Amino acid sequence: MAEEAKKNIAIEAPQTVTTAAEMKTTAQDPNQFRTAFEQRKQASQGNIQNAFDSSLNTQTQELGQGLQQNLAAQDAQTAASQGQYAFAREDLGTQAARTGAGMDRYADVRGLNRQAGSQQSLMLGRGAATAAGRLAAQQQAAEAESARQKALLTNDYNGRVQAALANRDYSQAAALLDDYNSQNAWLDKNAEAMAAFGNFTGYEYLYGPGQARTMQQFWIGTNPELAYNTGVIDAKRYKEITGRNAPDVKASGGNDYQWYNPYAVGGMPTGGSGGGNTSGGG
Amino acid sequence: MASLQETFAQRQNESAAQVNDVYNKQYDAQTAGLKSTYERSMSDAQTAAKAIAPQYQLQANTLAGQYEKARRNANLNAMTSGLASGTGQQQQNALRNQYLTNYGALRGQEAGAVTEANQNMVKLTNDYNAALANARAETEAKRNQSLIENYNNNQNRMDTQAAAMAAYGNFDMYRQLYGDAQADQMRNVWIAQNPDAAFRSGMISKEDYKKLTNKNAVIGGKYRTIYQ
Repeated sequence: MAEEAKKNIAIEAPQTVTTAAEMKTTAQDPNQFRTAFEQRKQASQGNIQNAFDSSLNTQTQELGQGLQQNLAAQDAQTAASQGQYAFAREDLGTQAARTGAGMDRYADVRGLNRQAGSQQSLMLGRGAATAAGRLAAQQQAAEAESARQKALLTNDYNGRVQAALANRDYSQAAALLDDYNSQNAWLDKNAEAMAAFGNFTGYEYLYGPGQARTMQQFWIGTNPELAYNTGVIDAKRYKEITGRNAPDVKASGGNDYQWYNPYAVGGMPTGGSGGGNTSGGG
Repeated sequence: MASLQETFAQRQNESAAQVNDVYNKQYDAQTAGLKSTYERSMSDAQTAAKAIAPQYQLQANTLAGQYEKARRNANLNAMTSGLASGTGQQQQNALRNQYLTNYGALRGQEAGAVTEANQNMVKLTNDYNAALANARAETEAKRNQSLIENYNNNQNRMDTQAAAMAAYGNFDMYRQLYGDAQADQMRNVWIAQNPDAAFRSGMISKEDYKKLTNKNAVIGGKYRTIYQ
């Protein structure tokens, strides 16, 4: 008979049979779990961000120091080069003057006429001017090259900082993704572990109160004593489920509707009529 | 609160966004260093290219100066040695032809150097673009691989969670994963195997309990009233 009944059974869709108010328990506050998890997540993400930010700061400081050293070295090189050019200009002037004086003496000794002497002087003057012009052009080119090198050093620095920043962002994002997966694994594991103790706040956080309530319903049905003793259900519900009075409630009645408060003075009920659930019972 | 379907879609989107963020940033990190290296190489190449014209002009001037000097010397020799006008002219022509040949060769070398410099700059740009494209391709390949892994991880997570929730008589996750028919079948089997737990949990009515067990749902002498 029972076998036949099983074959023909039409089982109804699951229904919520215990309201949220009935399920209320001070020991299972989903907001506490939510707050704890969010704090845990934020602390973990904060640690990751701080670690990578700190590493980036060190890197950029080193790069900045490197740039300053390179620019200073370039400036020193430019200053030395300018000194060399100044010396070369002076030397050129001295050489020109010396050569000019030598030519004058030569002209005097050889008795060259005034015009020939002037032509020679003119040629020397032109030669000196050409040499000075070349020198100036070389100096300008050297200065332009120095400026270019400095611009390249700065550009390199900016590129390295950008690369360090981008590397920081990439490494940080990769670490945050790992952390995200770890946090989710932690959530799943803890939700399951807590459910084994009749606490479904983890599942509530993950999937909402409806899903958690269905699971808690099952847990209460299979563990009415535990559910009663931990304050998840009241004495009335205990009696509805088991057909018996709660362990600490006398047959004549008592304060069946008093929720157990685990945070009240007196702590957990130990069974018997003196338990926390029946205070003030009649 | 969102439905399970919305929760999963949100979870999938959230984790995929994290994966995408990682690979967008990986591409930026790979290419950030390339740009400054390219700019330095290009600046060097441009400087070298700019130096070509003055360098060859200097050589051309030297060549012209040498030619002029040789031409004057030849003239002077011709005058002092009393060479015939035709012979002097031949010498002048030979010198001029030699100069033009050398000048042409020099300008040819210059053109070659300019072409090489231009090719070098084009190559630098091509290499840079190829490195960018390579980084993009590498990133996209890794991103796709990671997105597949992420999808599979989410599916595995759902499977694990479905089993964990089913252990508490909640088959909604299986419903989400495999549909109503599968979930109902699993739930019905579970209820048939655990009628007392199902009744106590409020999953079935006393009528269903009686159908299943052929017994009244009597606990402690009273009908249980939870399922109403």
